[in-house]
Amino acid sequence: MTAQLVTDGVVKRFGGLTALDHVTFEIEAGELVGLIGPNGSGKTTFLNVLSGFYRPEQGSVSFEGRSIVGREPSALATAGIARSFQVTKIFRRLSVLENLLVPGLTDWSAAPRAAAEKGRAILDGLDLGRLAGEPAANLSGGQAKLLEFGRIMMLAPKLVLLDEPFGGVHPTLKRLMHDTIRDWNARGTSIILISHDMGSIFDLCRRIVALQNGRVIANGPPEAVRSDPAVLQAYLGTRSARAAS
Amino acid sequence: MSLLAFSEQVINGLIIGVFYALAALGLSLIFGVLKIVNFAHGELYMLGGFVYYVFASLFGLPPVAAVLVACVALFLVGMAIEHLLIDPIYRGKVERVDEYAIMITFGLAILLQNLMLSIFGPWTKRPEAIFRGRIEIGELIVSGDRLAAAGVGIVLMGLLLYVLRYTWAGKAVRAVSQDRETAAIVGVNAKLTGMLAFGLGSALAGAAGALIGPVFLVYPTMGVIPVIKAYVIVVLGGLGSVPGAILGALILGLFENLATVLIPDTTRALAYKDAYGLVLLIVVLIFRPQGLFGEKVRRS
Amino acid sequence: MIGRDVSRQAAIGAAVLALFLAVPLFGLDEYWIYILTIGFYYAILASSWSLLVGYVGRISFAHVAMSGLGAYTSVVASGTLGLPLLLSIPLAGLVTGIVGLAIGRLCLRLHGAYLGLTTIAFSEIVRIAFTAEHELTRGSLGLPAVALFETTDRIPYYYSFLALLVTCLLIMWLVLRSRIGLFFAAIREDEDAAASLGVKVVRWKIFAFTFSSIIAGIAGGFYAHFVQLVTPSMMSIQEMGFVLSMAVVGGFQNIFYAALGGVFLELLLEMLREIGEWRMTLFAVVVILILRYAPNGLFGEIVRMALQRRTRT
Repeated sequence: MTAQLVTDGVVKRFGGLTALDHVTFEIEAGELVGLIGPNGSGKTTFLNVLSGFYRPEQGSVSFEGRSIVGREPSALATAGIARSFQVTKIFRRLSVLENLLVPGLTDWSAAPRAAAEKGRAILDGLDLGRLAGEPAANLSGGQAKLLEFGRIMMLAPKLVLLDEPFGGVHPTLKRLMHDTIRDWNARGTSIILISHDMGSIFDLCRRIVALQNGRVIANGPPEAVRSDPAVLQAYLGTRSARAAS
Repeated sequence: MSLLAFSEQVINGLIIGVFYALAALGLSLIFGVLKIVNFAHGELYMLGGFVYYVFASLFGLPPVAAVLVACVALFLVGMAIEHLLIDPIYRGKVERVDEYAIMITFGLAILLQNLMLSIFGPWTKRPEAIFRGRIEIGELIVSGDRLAAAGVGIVLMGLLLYVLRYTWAGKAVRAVSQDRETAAIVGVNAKLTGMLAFGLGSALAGAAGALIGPVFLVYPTMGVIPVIKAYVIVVLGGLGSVPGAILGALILGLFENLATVLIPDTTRALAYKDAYGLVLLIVVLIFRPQGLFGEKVRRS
Repeated sequence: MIGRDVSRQAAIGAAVLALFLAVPLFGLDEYWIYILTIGFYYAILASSWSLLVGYVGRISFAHVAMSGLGAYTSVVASGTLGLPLLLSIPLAGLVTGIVGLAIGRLCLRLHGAYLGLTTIAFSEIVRIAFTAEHELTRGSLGLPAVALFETTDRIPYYYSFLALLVTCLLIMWLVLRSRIGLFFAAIREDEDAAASLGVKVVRWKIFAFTFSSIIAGIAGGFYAHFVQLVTPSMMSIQEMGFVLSMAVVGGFQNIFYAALGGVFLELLLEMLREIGEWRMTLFAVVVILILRYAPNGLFGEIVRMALQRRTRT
């Protein structure tokens, strides 16, 4: 079985800084992979490459067997890759429901009425139903993250890229987000999850990939990655890593 | 072209370059600190010309004193503009920041132009020159008013660069230019620095207008063409970069002169004189929006 | 957004339209009919400009340059080439549409002040070129244009310009209330988010530029054959400032308010003739105050207050 998404030797540079240094990675359909690494290790850059926002200087990225390098973000969204943003990007002056209608209506065969019904059902499931008519600007930080989840669900994607979805989210909402992620995964959606929240990562993922300075330093089941000396060193610095071992 | 005529061209070009640079520096300073393009900059320049005219010609102040009055007046006007119209952006009082900043300064430009038109009428005024007569270097003749005005301009620019480099206020300006939030954390008053930058930027524009007034006359729309050149300059040099602005002024001067030579039909070449820089502006904005020398900004 | 209170808006719209239809019947002075007709021209420009700025969040200072380009196109096509006006005016829209498409394509990555500067530069280049090319345009003397109608009566012009305005507004409204309007809003609010959700950002930004340029070009073409003269001053920055003032005063976040702003300011400009240049000074003060304190514009605020009062009682 071939993997759903494969990257091979991806390099992305910003001026003199190499943000991604030959990243080779793959994810099977239906997998849930955690992506960890210290700040500036290239996690978000990697997500930006996968979702078409950055074009890598070298290497290949293919989704379902076809190269996606150079394709517009909007085309990738339609092809089945959806994402959230580290700094929440909701449409602040549109209503909560309209935020969902944007992805709902990018498919021209979708009728507005049907899209609105689907949107309302999704909002109900995310506990945002009663806010449907409110401007999105009125949502709390956690609710805004949930709204991004809702927008992703409208696209019915095959692969979801989540960038720090739990940052600053109330525990109750976080539980709801965990359930939603598990639910997506149970229905066969593959997910790449970036988070600093190790509890959530270890709770949700069966495989973890660790990045440091744009390089993959570990890749495997949670227990193995947790005790990997390279990972410990990346997070704790040299001396404490030696002390821990 | 004879060597004499050529040197005359070069000297005139350099003198004009000084005025361009003065106006462009102010624009760049304001952009650096406040991250807005001041679409009313040409009108501040024009206002400087009128203040100079009123004080030098109507009140009979000595010209150099009148230039200083124009600087101070425009400094105050700039501070007031920042306080009343620009600062609300940073206090979260404005919904659509980008459009607001552009339209409010554009509106200000319309206001100042028509205000001066209402008060002084559309006719040109020729205020007192700083220095009458001409200076002869061998056979080369340069009119004294231009040279003196450029001299004062260079002194003012030097003063600004000194202030930016060595004084506390200058350091605050540079700190806020680089990172407003971090500057605020280490104790720089960003609000005051913003007012200072807008005030200084306006004062520079006012100085340029005052100095050039006796040479190119003072009238309500005198700022329209020079400010477009100032835009070209700051875009060439990279918005917000002070040395870039000076370099940009030189490039524009050269480019304009070369382009005029390249078109064989002289009347046509002259008619398009003001368009060359604009073409350059569009090309740079589209292909190198960070300016010729700026670093590419990483997208967050 | 759009779609809310549609029936109430339609009722207000119909009432305003009925008022404009009835105006000539009350024996209004020919002069004022003429002024109102010019107001309709500005209403088309102000509303199609707000489509770009208010809905898509893309500023352009090249809008009156587009209108002027359309005017020259139609005048040259009808005068030099002898095309009938029924062809030359749509041709004006076609030409400005193509130019708008090219500019939209070139400026894709620019926004905010950078876009403002680029469009100002473009606008000035066009104006300078039309002033400089004497053989073709007679420079700042301008070109005489064939009259739209053979009569000197103002009434046919009034009604045909009103019809053009209503048609333009209707087409814009239909586009804006469709899903395209929603995509515009998404692009305005957050381009990256819109793209990540499948909105073809590139396509819709270019479309918006092209669409508003076509409208400006047709309006300019029509206007040329109404005033029967085109000059490069039609494309000046001052003229752009006037259109901007109209849109802002009326309310640039709504095409209908912006259109009303166009008629309103043109009327006011004539009514206040006695105070001379102080008029534009006054308008500019109003523009600044509205931007700062009432971004919905005069008509936006009036409607908002009317709706608030209704809900209270």
